[in-house]
Amino acid sequence: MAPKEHHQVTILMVEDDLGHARLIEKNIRRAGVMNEVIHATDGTTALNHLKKGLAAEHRPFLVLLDLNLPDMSGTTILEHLKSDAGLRRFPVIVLTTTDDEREIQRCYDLGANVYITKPVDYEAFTTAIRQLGLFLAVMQVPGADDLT
Amino acid sequence: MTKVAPLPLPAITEPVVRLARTFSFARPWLPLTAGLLIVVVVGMFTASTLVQSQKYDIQVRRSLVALSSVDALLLTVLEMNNAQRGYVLSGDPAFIERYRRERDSIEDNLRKLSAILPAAGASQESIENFERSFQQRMGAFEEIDELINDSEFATAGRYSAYTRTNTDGVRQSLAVIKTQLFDSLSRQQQVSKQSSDRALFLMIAGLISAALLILISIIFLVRRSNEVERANAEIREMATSLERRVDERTADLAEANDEIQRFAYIVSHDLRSPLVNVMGFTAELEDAQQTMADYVSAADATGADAIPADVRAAVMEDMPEAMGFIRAATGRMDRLIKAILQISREGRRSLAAETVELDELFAELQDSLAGQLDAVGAELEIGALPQIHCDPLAMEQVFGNLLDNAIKYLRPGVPGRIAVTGEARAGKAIIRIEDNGRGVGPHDQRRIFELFRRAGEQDQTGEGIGLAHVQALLRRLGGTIQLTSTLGEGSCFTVTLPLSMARGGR
Repeated sequence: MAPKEHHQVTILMVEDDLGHARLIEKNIRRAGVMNEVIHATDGTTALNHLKKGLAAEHRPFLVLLDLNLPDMSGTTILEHLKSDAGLRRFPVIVLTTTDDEREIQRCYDLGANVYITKPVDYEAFTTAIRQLGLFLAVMQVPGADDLT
Repeated sequence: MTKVAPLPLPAITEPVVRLARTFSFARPWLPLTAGLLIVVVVGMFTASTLVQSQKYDIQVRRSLVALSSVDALLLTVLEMNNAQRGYVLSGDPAFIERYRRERDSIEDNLRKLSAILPAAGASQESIENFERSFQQRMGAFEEIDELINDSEFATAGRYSAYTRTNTDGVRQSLAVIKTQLFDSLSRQQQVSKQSSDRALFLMIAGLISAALLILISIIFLVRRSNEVERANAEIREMATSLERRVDERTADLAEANDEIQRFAYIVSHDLRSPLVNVMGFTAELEDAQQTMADYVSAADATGADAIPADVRAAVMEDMPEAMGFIRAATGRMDRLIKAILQISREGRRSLAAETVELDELFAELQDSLAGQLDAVGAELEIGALPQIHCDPLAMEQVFGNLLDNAIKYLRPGVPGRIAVTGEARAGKAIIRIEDNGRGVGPHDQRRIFELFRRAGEQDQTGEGIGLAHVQALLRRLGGTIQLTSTLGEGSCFTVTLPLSMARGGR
């Protein structure tokens, strides 16, 4: 029963670097996460997906968010998500290269659920992403039906 | 050709300039002093005039006394004459009484007159003239007296009438003296008047000029004090503007520094992002290569399809070699980026001063470095060290780095000896870390403090960050670091720090 539900959760990956996106997807797949992954390469596309796609279709989702985007900062998207009554329940996992204290604090202040730094070293990177995958497999996401 | 001597213009203008400067507002005491001098001179002159006029007064009095004495003497002579003649004509003994009284007093009068006359202005000639006629008249009185005693009244009467000429002689000679006395008196009065007029004039002139000079110096003083006031205001204005400028510069510098920090931070992050890809896909490639390598090995083992030699070489040798180089390069790049990031973070960390016992700090460092020291067989000696007021973490980083370097760069085959000595002098703590290691060549002694620069044989791990970091930290703490070293003999790093760190550091 649980795996079925998880299949329904869509992962929105907001990541401008195609290489990173590919590496992240490869590694969460290797961790056994088979959910649908929608990839947005910039903030505008990501917001469009959220407003018109996911929210409109009442699909539960979680967001993997990079902070360095070409058109806007990831924190803007985070702010937007967490200030929207319909979207704020869905988990946001910040996955970025920045490991600056203040940036981390700022993200949690804005309501980020998890903050993960992408390790440069690939072994550490794969470990981190696979662990994230394992985490995603057991994570509960609020149902779309709860939305008003 | 002879040289024409230049016109001695400065020689001419210099005194003029000096004079002008002498009377400038810069020396208000000059006219003041001149005024004081004039007042003193006028005072002295007035005093001498007073003394002089007293002298004149005495002379005038003397002249007046002489005049009255002359009159008194003449009167006595006339009285004597009248009394004698009265007696001769009437025989009344009262006349002879009177005559004798007058005769007794005349000697006294004469003595007084003789004493006073020369000083009162009568000439010697006129005095002698008077004395002669007076003696003649007195002689005549005596002769008539004798005739009276002999009772020859008729002869006495005739002789008495005759001696009238003698009386006139006395009168005339005294008149001459009186004229001389009057002349002398008027001369004295004239001189006295002239002198007092002159004194008055000089006094008035002196007082006016003194008053003028004092007025001038007051004007000078007022102007000068205004000037000083203005200059003070200017100085105050300059001081405030200078302060403002310093503040502005400091703010500019702080801003520039912040920008550099942000820049370093952004660069290190933006460089990291592609590096994740390079490292990630290299690893993926390695996986793929491993798969192929496994296949090639398996094919070799089974001896089934022969793998072409060039394919085998590509999979088994070229690809691993290429990926090895990529890994090494990206690994190094990762470390460099980490170092930049660390330095930029350290630059932003605010320093907090507290009391640091350097003895304890070095003892702790020695404990943590014990393993490294044992591994290379080096000895670390720590002397007495001062207590300072500084950021403890920064101190640990500075001295940890220096000790680490000393242990890393010993000479192979020479037992390492590292000595730490210190002292407090003139508000500074001086700490020396001396080793007998491989040393630093003269060309590298500055270079090794630069970022990513290392000296000598590159046989130790490291990115060339330590000393750059140490120097940057010390600069923020208000300290310095110096290196004296001889290649192949050893190095001595001297750290100088303020005993008490300035508030907040830089």
